[in-house]
Amino acid sequence: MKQPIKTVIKPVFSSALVALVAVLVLQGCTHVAPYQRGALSKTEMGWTPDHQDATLQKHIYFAKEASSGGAEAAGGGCGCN
Amino acid sequence: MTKTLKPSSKLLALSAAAMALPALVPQAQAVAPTERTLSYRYTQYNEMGLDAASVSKINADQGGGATQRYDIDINQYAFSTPVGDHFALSIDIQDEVLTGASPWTVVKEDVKATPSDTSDDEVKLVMSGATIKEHRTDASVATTYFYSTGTISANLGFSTEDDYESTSAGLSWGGEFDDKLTGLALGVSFSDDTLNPEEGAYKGTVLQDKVGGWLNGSDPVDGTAKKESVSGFFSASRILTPNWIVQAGVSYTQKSGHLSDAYKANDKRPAERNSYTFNAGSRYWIKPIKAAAHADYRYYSDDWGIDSHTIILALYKNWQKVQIIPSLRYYTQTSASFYSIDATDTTQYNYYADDHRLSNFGAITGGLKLVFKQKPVDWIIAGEYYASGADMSLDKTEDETEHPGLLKYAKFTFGVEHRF
Repeated sequence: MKQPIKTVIKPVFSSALVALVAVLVLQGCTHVAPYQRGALSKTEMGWTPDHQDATLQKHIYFAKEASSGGAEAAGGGCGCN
Repeated sequence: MTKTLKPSSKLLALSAAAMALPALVPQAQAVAPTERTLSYRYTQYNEMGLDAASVSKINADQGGGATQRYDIDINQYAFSTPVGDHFALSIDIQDEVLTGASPWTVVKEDVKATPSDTSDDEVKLVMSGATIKEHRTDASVATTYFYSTGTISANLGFSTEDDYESTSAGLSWGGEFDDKLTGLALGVSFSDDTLNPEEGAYKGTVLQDKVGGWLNGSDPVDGTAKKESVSGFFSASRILTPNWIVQAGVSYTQKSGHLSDAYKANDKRPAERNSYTFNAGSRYWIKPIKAAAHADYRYYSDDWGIDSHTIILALYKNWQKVQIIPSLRYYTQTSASFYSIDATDTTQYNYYADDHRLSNFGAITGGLKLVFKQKPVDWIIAGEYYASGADMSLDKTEDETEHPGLLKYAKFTFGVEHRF
């Protein structure tokens, strides 16, 4: 029998939270000096390198799927069908 | 144990500029921009037509029965500029013209003409007429204040359609800590929406006649209906190596008001919806091939019974003056607790809906984008294909009927961006 998604989600969610805490707690394990951050400063390494594309994608998925939102400011709704 | 990476003399030469580089605070750029950007995009969005066999003819004499779905032409304009040494201002406008038809409800039809045996009845879509034409304009303005260890941003948005208006506002903060290795961000946003379908493209159509009025859901009032949304988020990022940064965050959203779909025949949803998300992301610079590897994940859950997972992978590969960006997205969701395409008498339920977007399904999106970098202008072309189906869901069960309204679409974009 197939495993209900809820039973899969709990360990995934818990693991993700542990990962978040780990990122915060483990700070200082490796120190990356400012002069070593050249690659990290590239536009394509940003969280949202193309904001126009991201805005449109968010709008389409908002209209065609049941989930929306994330770690960013939410926009307004639409009468999309 | 702390391990410090030793600088090379070549890298030391970059230090002066790099001192200003941020820990890439989530959703914010912690260094004030020094140039203006003017950008334009044209996107053509086309949903694939339906198989005629999946569409009911019961409303064909009233203009229904269309197999064509939505085609949308989208124009996007963006302008951003520094204002003094510590501020930036950006303006975004998105204009859409939509034509086509959408699913109105579903019916079970006896396709084998065996009235005594309903087990072989097929679920068919009842479509609206192909006469809908809608125009939507969305405008937003945002300003960001940059200080030595962070940013504060505020944004205001407004969108209008013939039958829908939305006003939204947001405020967020991003800060850098631990020698700018750790970034924290938090924010709140609010939206206030007004629905007025009687003024829209649906007025006087077969939909209006069929349902005997447009209001069919939660908390109906005459003429117009309102809904509101409040949300908040928190996220943290961390530089792990000179080539790797990760991010994780959580968000919460509460929607209230008229959350039913005014254009569906069988649709009555709760007047409140609470949802939360957990998201995680990674950006890794693959030095040997000069490419940035992106990986993003989001888990979503709400009190309508919907859980979803989204995974997006992309590679930003630089090749001479061209950037090649292949991407892949996988999405899966469970159905809402009140969703059904089998219910024959919906009056016995407090809430009900047969909207395909509330069903159990999965979807895959594949995309390819090319950016031709001809300083100071970038030329952009991109294509994308989306396909959804019940069999792509992680939670698919054998006895579940797939909603015939699950869609496929293709999207093509052309753009130009000028920095000066």
